[in-house]
Amino acid sequence: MRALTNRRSVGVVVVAAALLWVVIRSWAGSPVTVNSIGQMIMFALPIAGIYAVQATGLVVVYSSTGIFNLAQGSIGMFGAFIYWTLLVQWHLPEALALFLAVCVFAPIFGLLLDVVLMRRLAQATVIVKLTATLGLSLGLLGVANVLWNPDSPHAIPNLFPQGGGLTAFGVVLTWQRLITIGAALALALALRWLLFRTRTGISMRAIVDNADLATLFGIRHARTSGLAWVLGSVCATVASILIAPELGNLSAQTLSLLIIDSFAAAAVGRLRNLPMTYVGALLLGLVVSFSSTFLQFGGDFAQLPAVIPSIALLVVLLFLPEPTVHVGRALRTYRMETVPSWRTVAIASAVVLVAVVAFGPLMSGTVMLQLTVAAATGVILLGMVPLLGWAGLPFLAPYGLAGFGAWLAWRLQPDLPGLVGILVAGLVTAVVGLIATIPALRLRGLYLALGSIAFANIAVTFIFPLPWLLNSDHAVAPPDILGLNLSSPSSFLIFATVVYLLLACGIVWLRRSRFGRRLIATRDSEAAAACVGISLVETKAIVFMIAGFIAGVGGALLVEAQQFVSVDQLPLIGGLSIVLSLVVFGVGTVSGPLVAGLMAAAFAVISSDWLQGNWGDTLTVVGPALAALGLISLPRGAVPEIVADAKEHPLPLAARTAGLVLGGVIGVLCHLPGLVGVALAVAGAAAGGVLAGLFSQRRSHALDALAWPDRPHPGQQAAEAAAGLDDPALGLSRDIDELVRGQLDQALGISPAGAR
Amino acid sequence: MTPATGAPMTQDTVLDVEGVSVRFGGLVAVDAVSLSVRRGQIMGLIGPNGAGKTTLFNVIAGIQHATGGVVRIGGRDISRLPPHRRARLGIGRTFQRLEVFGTLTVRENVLVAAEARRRWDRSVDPAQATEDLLARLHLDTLHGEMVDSLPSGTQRLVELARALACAPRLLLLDEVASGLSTYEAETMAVLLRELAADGLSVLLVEHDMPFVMGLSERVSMLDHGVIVVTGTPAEVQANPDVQAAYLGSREAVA
Repeated sequence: MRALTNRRSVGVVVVAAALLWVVIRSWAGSPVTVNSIGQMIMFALPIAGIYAVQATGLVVVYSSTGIFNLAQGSIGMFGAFIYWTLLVQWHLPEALALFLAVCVFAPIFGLLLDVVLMRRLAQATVIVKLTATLGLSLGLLGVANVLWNPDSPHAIPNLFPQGGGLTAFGVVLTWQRLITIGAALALALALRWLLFRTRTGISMRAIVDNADLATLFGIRHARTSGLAWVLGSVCATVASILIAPELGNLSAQTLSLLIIDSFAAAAVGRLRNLPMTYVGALLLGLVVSFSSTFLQFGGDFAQLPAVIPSIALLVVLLFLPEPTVHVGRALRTYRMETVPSWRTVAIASAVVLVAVVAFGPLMSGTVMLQLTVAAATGVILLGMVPLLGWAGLPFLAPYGLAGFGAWLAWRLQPDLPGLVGILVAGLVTAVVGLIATIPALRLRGLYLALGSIAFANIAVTFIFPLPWLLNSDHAVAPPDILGLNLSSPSSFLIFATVVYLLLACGIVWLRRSRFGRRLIATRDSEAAAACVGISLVETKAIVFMIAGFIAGVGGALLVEAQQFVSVDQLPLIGGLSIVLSLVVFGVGTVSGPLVAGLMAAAFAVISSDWLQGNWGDTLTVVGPALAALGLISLPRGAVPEIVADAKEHPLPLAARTAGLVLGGVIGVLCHLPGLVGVALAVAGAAAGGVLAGLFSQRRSHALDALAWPDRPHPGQQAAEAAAGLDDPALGLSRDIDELVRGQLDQALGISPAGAR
Repeated sequence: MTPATGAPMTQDTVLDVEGVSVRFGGLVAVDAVSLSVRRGQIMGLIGPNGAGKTTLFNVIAGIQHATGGVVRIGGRDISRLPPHRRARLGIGRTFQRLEVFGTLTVRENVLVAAEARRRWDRSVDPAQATEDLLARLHLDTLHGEMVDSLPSGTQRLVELARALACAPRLLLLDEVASGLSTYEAETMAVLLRELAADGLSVLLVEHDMPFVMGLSERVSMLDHGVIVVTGTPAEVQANPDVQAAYLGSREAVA
C-alpha cells in the first residue's frame, strides 16, 4: 500500500496548496490577534452547535436503522413552521409553543415516520433507502409550500427578543446563540446518558455493533428504530428553530437544504461515532467562522462562502481512512435491471420513433417543447442507469454533470457547431464526472451519495454562476446536424428522440458486454469481485465516465431544445427529484429514464397549465410522497413491475388502463375542471379493475400491491423465513421440537443429534 | 519462522505468512501468526469460532489490512497489494458467508471471473474455460439459473467454480463443505484432491472434522488468534490442547 500512501500524500499536498492559495488570495487583511481569534471562536461555537445537533440526528438514525435521512432538514423545517404557527398565528406563550413543537409534535412525527414508512425499508438497497427519504423531503417541502404560502412572511423571533447576552473579545454572544451552544451540549450529555445508562440505549449500541447478534439476544428493532426516529426528529426541529431567526424569513427550501451543510460533521464521525461528529461540527464551525472573520471573497469567488461546508465534506471524504473492502452483501439483492432482448429494443424503438415522426408535427409548439425537454431529461437520466442501476452507485447529481454539457454546448457552438460540439461536450463532462467523484471513488456507496449532493450544491451554487461560465443567460441556436437544420421544434424533437434511442441501444449493448457483467458483479459483491481480480476503482471510474458522457450530451440537448442556457435550468432540487422519479420508474431499465422525463414534463404541464394555483401545488406535493410510497411497495421500480404484471395478468391491467384513458378523455372532451377529470380517470381505472376482477376469478396481482397493509413487510418475511428455517442466521422465533431440530440439523449440514 | 508454526520454507512454497497480526481496537484477532503452504499441498486450518481464521483469510486475500507481518505468494511480498492485484498473482478464495453475484446466472458468475483472468492471461478463452469448469463441478445443467435462487450448497459450488476460473495457485476455502450433503462433500473432497494433484495449493478453514482431517496433509489449529499446534491430522487430533480447547472429547473427532 506504499503506492497508495504516496498517492494520498500527493492528495494532501494538492488540497493544502489549493486551500492556501484561496486563503492568501482572499485574505481580508484583518490582523491576527488574540482578540480576532477570540472573535472567530465566539462566532464558530453557535454555528458548530447547529451542525452538531443536525449531524447528531443524522448519525443516530443512520447507525440504528441503516437509513441515511436526507429528509432530516425538511423534518426540521416542518417543525419550525409548526412552531411559527403556534407562536405567531395562535399567539401561544413562547415556552408552551416551544414545548408543543419540540416535545409533542416532533416525537410523534418521528414515530409516525418510522411506523408508516421507514420500518418497511429495512431490507431495501442503499439507493432505494436514500431515494425514499428524498421523496419524503420533497413531499414535506411541497406540503409546507401549500400550508404556509411562501410569498407571505413567516419569521420566528429570537427566543429572547430583548437582546443582550454575553460579551467577550468585543463580541456579543446573544442569548439565542448561547442557547444554541447550550442545546448542543445538553444533547450530547443526554445522549451519553441514554446510550450508556439506559437499557434501550444499550440495545441501540448493540444494534450498531452487530444487528444480527442483537436480534438473537432478543433486542427488538422496532423499539430502537422508533426511538432513533424520535431523536432524529427532535434534533431536526431544535436545530431549525434555533437557526431560523438567524436566517430571517422562514424559507422551506433553505431550511431543508441546510442539512447538506451538516454532512461534513457526520462524515467526520464516519456516520456512526457521536463524539467524533461533535469534533467534526466544531471544526466545520471554525472553518466557516475563519472564512467570515479573516477572508474576503469578492469577484469570481463571491459565492464561495455558501459552499464551504460542501467543500469541507469533499475534503473529509478524500481523507477518510480507506475502508476495507465491504464483505457481506445486501440480505436480498433485487434484480434491479431488466435486460431486454434486441427484438424488444428494436420494436420499442421503432414504435417510439414512428409515434414521434407521425404525431410530432400535429402537436402545438408548447407541447412539442415539453416533449423535447422530456427527451433531453431522459438522456441525462439514461446516463444514471449504468451508474445507479447496474453498478449500484448512489450518485444523486445528474444535473451537476449535465450542467457542464449545457455550458459547453453554448460555449463550443461558434467553433464546433452541430454533432461534434455535442460529442465534445459529452467527452469533457465525462472527465468532469471522473474528477468530481475522485473523493468518493474508493469509499462505500453512502459516502458517494453524500459527496454527489455536495458536488451538485457546489456546481449549482458556485461553479455554474462563475463569470466565465453561466452568470447570465445566453441564447443557444439549434444545431445543424449532417446538413439538416433543426430549428423547427418537430425536427429537433425527432433528433432528440433518435439520440435517446441510440444511447439506449448503446447501454443495452454495454449491459450485455463483458463490462456490463463486471458492473453487476461489483454491485452484487464488492469483496468477491475484487477477489477474482476486478479492480473496483477502475470499474467505478469507467462507469462514471460513461455516465458523465451521456449526461453531458443530455445537458447539451436540453439547452439546444430550449434555445437558451441558464443556471436556473438545472436546479439542485430538480436534479434530486428526477433521480427520485428515475428510481421509481425503474433505475435499471432503458425505458425508465424516458418515462421519468415524460412524467416530469407532464407534471410541469399539468401544474402550470391545467391545474393552476393550489391544485397544482397539491399535485407537486402528492407526486413525491406517492413516489416514496410506490418505491417501498415496488422496490425494483414501476416499469419492470408493471411489465411483469402485464405478462402475468394482462386482463386487469388492460381494463384498468382502458378505464383510466376513457375517464381522462371524457374529462378533457367535456372540459371538466382538472380535478374532476382526474377523479373521473381514477374512477374509470377502478371500474376497469372491478370489471376485470368479475371476469377473472383470480385475484389481481396488482391489487395486492395497493392493499399494502395486508402485505407482509420485509421484517415479517424475515421472521417467517427464520420460522421456516430457511436462514438459520436470522435466529429462532419458535420453540424447538424434534421435527424442527431435524430440519435445523439438515439446514446446518450436520448429522442428526441422535446418531452421534 | 519457527519450525513449530509451519512447514519449513522450501523452493516450492506458494504461500508464506510471517508474523501477521490484526488488531481491532484493543482486541487482537490474529496474533503474530506464521504459516506456509507448499505447492500441491492441502492444509487445514481449524479452531473455534472467533479464533481468527476468517480474519487471517481476509488478510491473505487483501480484504483486511494487517496491523503487522508479511504475506508472500511465490516468494513475492504482497502485503501492500489490493485484493484484485493479489487475485492476479494467483490467490483465489471462497467466502464463509456466501458472496455470490446473486443477480447473475451461474454461467455468468464463472464467466465474469474468467474474463477478469484474461487481463493477465491472454491465452485463456473465457467462454471455453467457463464451460469446462461448469462441467467439472456438475453445474452445467444449472448454467442459466440466477444464483440467488439456488440452495446454499449449490451457491458454494458456484463460488468454487468462480475462484477456479481465475486459475489460482493458492485456493483459500472458507467452510466450503458447510451446507453440502454427505455425498456432495465427498465429491468435493475428490475434486480438491484432483486439483491438489495438479499442483494447486489449498488452505482450508473447516468445521467439518472428518472432512478436514481426511483431506489435509497438514493441519494447524488457531485459538484466540494464535497457532496452538501444527502437524499431521493424527498429531493434531492427539494433541491434548486441541482436545481441550476445541474438540471437547475424543469421540467427536471420530
